[in-house]
Amino acid sequence: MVRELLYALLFGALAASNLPAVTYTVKKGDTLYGLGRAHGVSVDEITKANPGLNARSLTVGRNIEIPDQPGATVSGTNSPPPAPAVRLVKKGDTLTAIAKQYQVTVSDLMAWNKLASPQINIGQKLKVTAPPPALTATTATASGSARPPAVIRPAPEKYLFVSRVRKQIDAPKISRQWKYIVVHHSGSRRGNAAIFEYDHRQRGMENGLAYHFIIGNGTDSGDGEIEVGGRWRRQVKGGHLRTELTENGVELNETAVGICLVGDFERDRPTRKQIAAVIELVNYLNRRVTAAGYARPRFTVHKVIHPRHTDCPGKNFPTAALFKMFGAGAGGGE
Amino acid sequence: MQTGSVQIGWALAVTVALGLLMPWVRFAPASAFDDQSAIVAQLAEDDWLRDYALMNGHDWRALRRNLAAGESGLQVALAGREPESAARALAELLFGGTLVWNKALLVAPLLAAAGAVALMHRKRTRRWLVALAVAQAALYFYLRWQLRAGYVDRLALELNWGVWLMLYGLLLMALLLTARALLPPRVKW
Repeated sequence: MVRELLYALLFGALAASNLPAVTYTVKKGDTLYGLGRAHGVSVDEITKANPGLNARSLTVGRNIEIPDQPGATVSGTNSPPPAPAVRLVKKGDTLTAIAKQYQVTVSDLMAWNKLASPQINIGQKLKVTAPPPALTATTATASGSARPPAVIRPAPEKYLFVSRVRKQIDAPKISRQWKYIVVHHSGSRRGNAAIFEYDHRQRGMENGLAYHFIIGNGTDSGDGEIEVGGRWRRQVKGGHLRTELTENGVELNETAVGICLVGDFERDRPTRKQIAAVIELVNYLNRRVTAAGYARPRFTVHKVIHPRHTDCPGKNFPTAALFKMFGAGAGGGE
Repeated sequence: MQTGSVQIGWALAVTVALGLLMPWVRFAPASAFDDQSAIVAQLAEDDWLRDYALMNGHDWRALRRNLAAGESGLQVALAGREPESAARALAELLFGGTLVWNKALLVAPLLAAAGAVALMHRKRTRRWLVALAVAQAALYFYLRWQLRAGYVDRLALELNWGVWLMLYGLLLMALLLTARALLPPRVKW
């Protein structure tokens, strides 16, 4: 009897550690790819969770199981609610602190409350949970009975390129004022973060990869794929600008995030996906930095911040168009 | 009495020539850069049909705004080192910063007219039909490729109907010449 109880407890615990599944009712226009993106799971994971499901003919009204990704907010309605729907802003509150308190991201809060900046006022009412429509979730418990329906937070925005590395970008606490986001090209037709990391270490850079981000061109990494460098993860200064380049006596590398697009844009054009990725990444970094309470960094390119030294990122990079998008960049320091 | 293909051929040749003289390009309002999510989505998508055969939403919206304003294709073809102009910006986008090869646009109506003449003498000029079809298709796809590749730069510009008139005139002429070359000479059309 005791042994049976022990087995029951052991298998119960194992079952409880499984990821919960969400029961979703298919609506018109839904695709497995779209559902996968919205829930942060792959199409394969959905089809594995639903044996016999035909991805090409989703039937409207059919219930399908969507395996939940680790860390997603799933809570039973019978259990205490994780947070009130609306939170009144008190003295001393910051958006970052509130996001941390309710285990959501600052960008979620900004999206749910349609905030243009992370500035909040005392007495303001903030939505701290996702707005409806909500999904119902059923989760097998240790005893095999189903959990009551739960609310799942939908993805607040669609990031086509940032989503894959969002956790890496969000992981470090921003502890310095990034004043510039500087775009470079690699000057080579191939490459990726690992290759440049090796090269930069060979050249004596103790922090390795000189840039904070690399955006691939489909040769040694994906087209438009963003790779996060160690300098961003550790929030250390870049090595992508000449050390003598200073502003008010401070080396510009200290305050400039470096994004390098793989390619030689004196000869070739950046790919469309690289441009899309850089637009999305710059916007995301802007929001990330402002959410941490710092001023929005200024977008610029290497040849503008250091005009007499370089043509980087090349004549084929759409510098003028991106300045129109993000505002004029920094004039050359020397 | 000319056959149908010859009549269509001359109509297309006139279309291409008119297209070159009609408004091609003007500067876009700054608001063209506002919807960055839409720009990212557009750039991330590989829609070959829309990029090489149809028109994207940005171009449709530009057409709806003003059909009369803009600098002509002739100005794009002859753009040089004059102060900032939309024609020069488009010429650089399509043919590079040296502003030499933009003169190639002047060849387009000549190619189209040559195609119409070749259609009139199709029994003797079958090879010419094919050669002219290839040349016009090549010019069409080159221009579409450059418009696609320079999408972000192009947001600063609004293309007007002259450019589309010329492009689709070239494409249809290439198709017509190909069809005529493939049909047996005895078929009267």
